[in-house]
Amino acid sequence: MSSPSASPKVLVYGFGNPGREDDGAGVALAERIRAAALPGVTTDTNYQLNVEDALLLSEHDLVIFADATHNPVDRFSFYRLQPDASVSFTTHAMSPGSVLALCTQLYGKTPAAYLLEIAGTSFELREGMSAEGTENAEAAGAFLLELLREGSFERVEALYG
Amino acid sequence: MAQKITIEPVTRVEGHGKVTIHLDDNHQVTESRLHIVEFRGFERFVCGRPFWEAPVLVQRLCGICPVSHHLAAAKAMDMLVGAGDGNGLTPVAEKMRRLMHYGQIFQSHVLHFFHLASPDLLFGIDADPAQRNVIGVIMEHTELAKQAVLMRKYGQEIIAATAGKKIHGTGAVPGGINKNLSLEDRDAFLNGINGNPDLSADKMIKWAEAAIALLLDYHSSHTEFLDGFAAFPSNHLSLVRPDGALDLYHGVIRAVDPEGKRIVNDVDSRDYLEVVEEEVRSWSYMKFPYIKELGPKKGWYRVGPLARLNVCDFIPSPKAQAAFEQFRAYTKGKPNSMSMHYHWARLIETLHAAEVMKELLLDPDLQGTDLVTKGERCGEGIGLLEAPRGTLFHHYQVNEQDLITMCNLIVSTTNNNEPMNRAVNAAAVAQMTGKAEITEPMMNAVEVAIRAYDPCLSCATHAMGQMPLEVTLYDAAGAVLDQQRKGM
Repeated sequence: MSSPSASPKVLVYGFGNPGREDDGAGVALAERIRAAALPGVTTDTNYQLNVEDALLLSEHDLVIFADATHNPVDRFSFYRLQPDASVSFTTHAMSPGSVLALCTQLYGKTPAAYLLEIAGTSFELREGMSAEGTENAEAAGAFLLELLREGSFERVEALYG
Repeated sequence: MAQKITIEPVTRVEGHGKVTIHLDDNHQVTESRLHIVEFRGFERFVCGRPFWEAPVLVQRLCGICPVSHHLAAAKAMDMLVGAGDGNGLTPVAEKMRRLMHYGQIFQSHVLHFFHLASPDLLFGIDADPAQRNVIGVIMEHTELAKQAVLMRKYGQEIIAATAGKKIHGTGAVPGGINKNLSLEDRDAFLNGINGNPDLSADKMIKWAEAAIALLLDYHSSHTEFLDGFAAFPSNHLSLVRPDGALDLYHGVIRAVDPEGKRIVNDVDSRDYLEVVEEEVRSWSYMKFPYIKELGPKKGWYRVGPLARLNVCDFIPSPKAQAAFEQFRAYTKGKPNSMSMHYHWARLIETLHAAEVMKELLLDPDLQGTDLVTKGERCGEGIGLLEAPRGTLFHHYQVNEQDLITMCNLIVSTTNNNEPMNRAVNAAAVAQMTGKAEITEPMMNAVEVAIRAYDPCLSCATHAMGQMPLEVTLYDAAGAVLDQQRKGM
């Protein structure tokens, strides 16, 4: 985080496809954060990350990506991201670490960045999340809301950095 | 001993693809196939839903060109609500949709050229993969990379302003549009978003021109590669304005053969079933469309930027028209059959889109208030448009309860299925004949051929996820002789 003592500009960025059940968990979470209207916190959503998001990242001090995962995590996981310059672009989409690396390379800034991964169980072409995915997204949302309301980003760094 | 090389999956394209290359006993390539291995189920997903939901629902298809699906569905819904077949909307509705569409074309083409294709061109297809990617481009060409980011952002902001938001936009509704463009947004797009002159309409035109110059400069020193790589004659199909102009939003169906002879002569898009049929092959879930009258053997065709510039008579914007004249002169007015020239055509369209966006922004009709047209309701709607990757067909039937009962989609990647297979084969013949060892540059050569078409396999198959690359060499009995992996 570039300036933890000043009021940091925080971005919560949810990505995924809400038309694929639990794949929309990150988007749902970002919309929940937006509804809370926390001071200093902005949100954005998209199907997937891409090159222009590097510019968006450069305008924030702290970025929290929210995404669904197939990985066997307990409800959700939250961890610090590092720029990923290895760049394994396998589709049009980019990973959060790759966008962070782009931000560093293009704009000389590396905001503190975290990934909030929400465990999903079903990713079929269908609207609406599964019951388990919904529970997991709610748990992740409660966790993040508490963190953001508390506003102690030094503590975030201490716990997860 | 006959061998089979499997490249799975294709990288830097969306979705899940697998390439198999069949060699004979002398390591000569006998056949190549691009397999699509996941089943398409979207048409069933839409059935049973109220028709007015379709323009929003279909955006779930993919994250690359949701706007194209949104608008194609909206055009089909226009027919259903009696608002005509693309020409019956109010001026503000049609022009807002066009602005949305050309914004989509612009940002998508920019992504393709700078993000997916430029690493191959700037560093060569046999360069170290650690360098041959967008980070490599940034390290060597930082200003170019920054321009690409801003061009993408400009297109995305145009979409957000016209569609309402970046994803699940609701801008287009059956019979029209749900909002006009505010003067504040218009001025921002003309003069610079957030006061940044690098995010202005004129800067987009300037940078698009510079991108063409960059490609032509590259072409002058790599003529043999760009002209010869995966080149083969084909038919070409696209929509075209009735006067022959390039039109990416609406038009009649036209197709030409490899010599430029008209083989589909400006057919009303509502009659697409009289023009196109789809063939099923046992080894792929993706169908193979062809021009009905010519049959599956001779009737396959290309779509997308290259096809569009081969089919149209002129481009109705001055700077792109000048670039088009240079493009057509290169093949002496005949259709261009060089797969790598998709990139050239794509950049000419990028410039055209930038010019169209500026022209639309200057049009006071965008601030009009007559947003929706309605007429006599009917039970069938057909919407065609030119998506970034090519012609997109949406066809729906609706029952008396307003529920969708039938949906048929032919997406751009499906239209290009046969030519992509042929491009893979051409690359394989050129790169792999007589060689038994699997190398990364050989694999990439095949991918370069596919990337020229910019397939969106997610759209065609609804696959998802990160796809590492695996290359396997089989003998005739199916035993693995060699295997290479990357990204795993």
